[in-house]
Amino acid sequence: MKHLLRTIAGLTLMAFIFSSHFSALLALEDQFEISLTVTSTDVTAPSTPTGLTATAISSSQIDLSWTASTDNVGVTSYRVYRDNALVANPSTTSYSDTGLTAATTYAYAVSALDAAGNESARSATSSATTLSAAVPGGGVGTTRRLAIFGVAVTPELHGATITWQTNLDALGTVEWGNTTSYELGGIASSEYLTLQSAHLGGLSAGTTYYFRIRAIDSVGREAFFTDTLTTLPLPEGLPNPSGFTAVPRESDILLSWRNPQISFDALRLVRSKTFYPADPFDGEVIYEGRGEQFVDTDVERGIRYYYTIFTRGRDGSYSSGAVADARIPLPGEPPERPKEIFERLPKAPAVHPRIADLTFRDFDFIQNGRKREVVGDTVNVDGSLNLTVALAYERVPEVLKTIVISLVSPGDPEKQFSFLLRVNKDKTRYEATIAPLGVSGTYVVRIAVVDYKNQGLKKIEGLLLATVLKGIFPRGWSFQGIRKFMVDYFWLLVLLLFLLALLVEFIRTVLKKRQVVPPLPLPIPNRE
Amino acid sequence: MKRACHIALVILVLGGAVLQSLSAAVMSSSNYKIQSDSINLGGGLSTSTSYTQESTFGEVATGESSSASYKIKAGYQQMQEVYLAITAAADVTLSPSLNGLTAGTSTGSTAVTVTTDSPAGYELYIKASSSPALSSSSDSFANYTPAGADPDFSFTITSTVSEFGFSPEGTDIAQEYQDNGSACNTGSSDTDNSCWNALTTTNELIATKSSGNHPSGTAITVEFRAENGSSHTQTAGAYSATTTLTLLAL
Repeated sequence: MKHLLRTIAGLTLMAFIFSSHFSALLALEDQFEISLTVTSTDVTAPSTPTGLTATAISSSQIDLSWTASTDNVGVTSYRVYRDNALVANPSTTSYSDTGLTAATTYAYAVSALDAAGNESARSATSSATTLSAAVPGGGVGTTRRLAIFGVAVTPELHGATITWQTNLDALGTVEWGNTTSYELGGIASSEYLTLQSAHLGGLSAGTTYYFRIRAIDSVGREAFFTDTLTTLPLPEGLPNPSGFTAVPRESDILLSWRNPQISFDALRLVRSKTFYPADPFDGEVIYEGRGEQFVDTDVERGIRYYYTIFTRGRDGSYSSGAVADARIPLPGEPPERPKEIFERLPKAPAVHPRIADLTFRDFDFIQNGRKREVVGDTVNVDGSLNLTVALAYERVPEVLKTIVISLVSPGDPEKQFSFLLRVNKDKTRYEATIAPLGVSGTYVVRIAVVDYKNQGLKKIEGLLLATVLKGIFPRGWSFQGIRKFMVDYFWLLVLLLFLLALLVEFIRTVLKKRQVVPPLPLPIPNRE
Repeated sequence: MKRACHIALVILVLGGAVLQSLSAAVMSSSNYKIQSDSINLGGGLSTSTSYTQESTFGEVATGESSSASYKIKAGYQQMQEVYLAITAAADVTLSPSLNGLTAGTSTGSTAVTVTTDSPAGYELYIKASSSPALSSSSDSFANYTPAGADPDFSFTITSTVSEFGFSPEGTDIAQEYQDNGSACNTGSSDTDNSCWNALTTTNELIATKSSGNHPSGTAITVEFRAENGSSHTQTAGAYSATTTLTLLAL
């Protein structure tokens, strides 16, 4: 019995062990590859151009313009057909057809091309008739001459309006350009009037253009008027003090700066414990005057103080503000290293999407009323001129924010100066005007936008290459300017004087050696 | 003497179990196990209430014996429970090549024959090794998205996308891929180039049978299709999808 039970137990155990293995699944795998080649061949033609207009400008010129076409990849150029013959291949949506015969009707059509050579269908035809040829002396037995007078130019920032009168009803065209070839464009009127006006658009601010008015009456008499116009310069703000620093000392904070080289009323230094005062009234006014230094003794250890210094102009307006902050360390604490602006703020990624989209290229760098060209993230500026940094008002949402620009001194990354960008009077821009940098070199530019509503910070970085173009002398021979020059270049002047003294001494020595001693008269021989 | 035999029996059982598990571990994965190798250490032994069998190990009591209440498959030859085979699936080159700047369709297929003598039949699965399945070094085709829970009867995409999908064909295809001429997962037809689904990294059942088909086997074809929408730009390049068919004996 015992034997039987033991055998049964053993066999049961074996069955259990083996059956658990046999219950596993049996499977086979088969792997293979699927492949596909995708090429990139553009076979789609652009859309047909629309809106073609042909305008006779003169007896030998007709101007064309049309609405741009679209393409799945991109339109590269257009073909202009005159009376079904290909005459031009412009890359823009306008063309001036010249060398035509007077008083002749021409029919035009245009098509669009892409990089792969696909051509669209031709546009609807537009025709125009060149003007009659000008007849010298007025023609048809009359001695009256056509004359242009009363020309008035109203310049704008990016354009100008020109009005003029003629003594007889006449058509008018205005052409303009950077040279007397008037290569930039032309506008023609289509009615014979004695008072005409034309608006030129798409011009650069603060720039001089050549323009020419041509009047032609119905019998072909012509009159011309040429002149230049200058568009309005981009406004620049009041320059901030430069080199503003706040240095914590044992029991006070030393604030120093350099005054702007303009005629101004006073500087206002404002302090806050919360953050940089955003305007001249956003904090405690601790100094007003024309000095270049102030010691803030009303400070406690361990508390960070934020300072903004503003220039107040003669008209009562204020500059955007230069900022700095300092904190006297508590006993035992090591001195603080200069930190990148806003490094101490908690890093929060949430900013308004329009703020998040900002790039270096959204900012304008204006000197002498003209924008400096920004290439990638680098801008070249004249280090001897004021520099206004501006951001169009509509580029950022109207949430509560602070925009600060910091420039890092070339060759000394620990030295940086920061300025607020504030809204200008007519609410068109956020701007800050920085006094002439004065030193050539590459400045790292850091722009920080604090979005208080979304508790976020957007940082933008770029480079500013400053070249001091107008020599080493500061602008204007004011006493302050001369003094500044002497201070800045003291050792250079000493060296120059020393070299000059050496040179003078050398010349003196050379001249001395070469001095010819006149020979003594020969004794007359005694003839006795 | 008897005591010694019983001790030997226990040791051999345990040792056999260990060896069995070791050899099984060498040839198994988390999903399946290759049929066990010959260890020559055991036969299938069963018990019933009406008999006992005691045998030593080795090729004893080989062959198949049966009664109303049990079946014994003892010995190495009898350990081979089922026959399972799948022919090698050929690589697929979708054609024609697609122009990434225009609308276009590219198709291809591969076919396998699955055979089993398992009386319970088989299941055939398909999956991709990556998601999306069809991709190049810089771009990919989105996995096909059917309009509802069932595969789409017709392959349809919008003009702004490019997609890649598959459709199985054959007599044993899963119900999900059978159609009634206009909709899938209904009816019992197998309309050509119909019932399209996404090729994902999860095993998808495409064919099944509840009985053996040995020796003739069953042919299963898998169609593949990649399509570029008319407003979609597909980056030029060489695209590929590594695909695995898994055949299970039930």
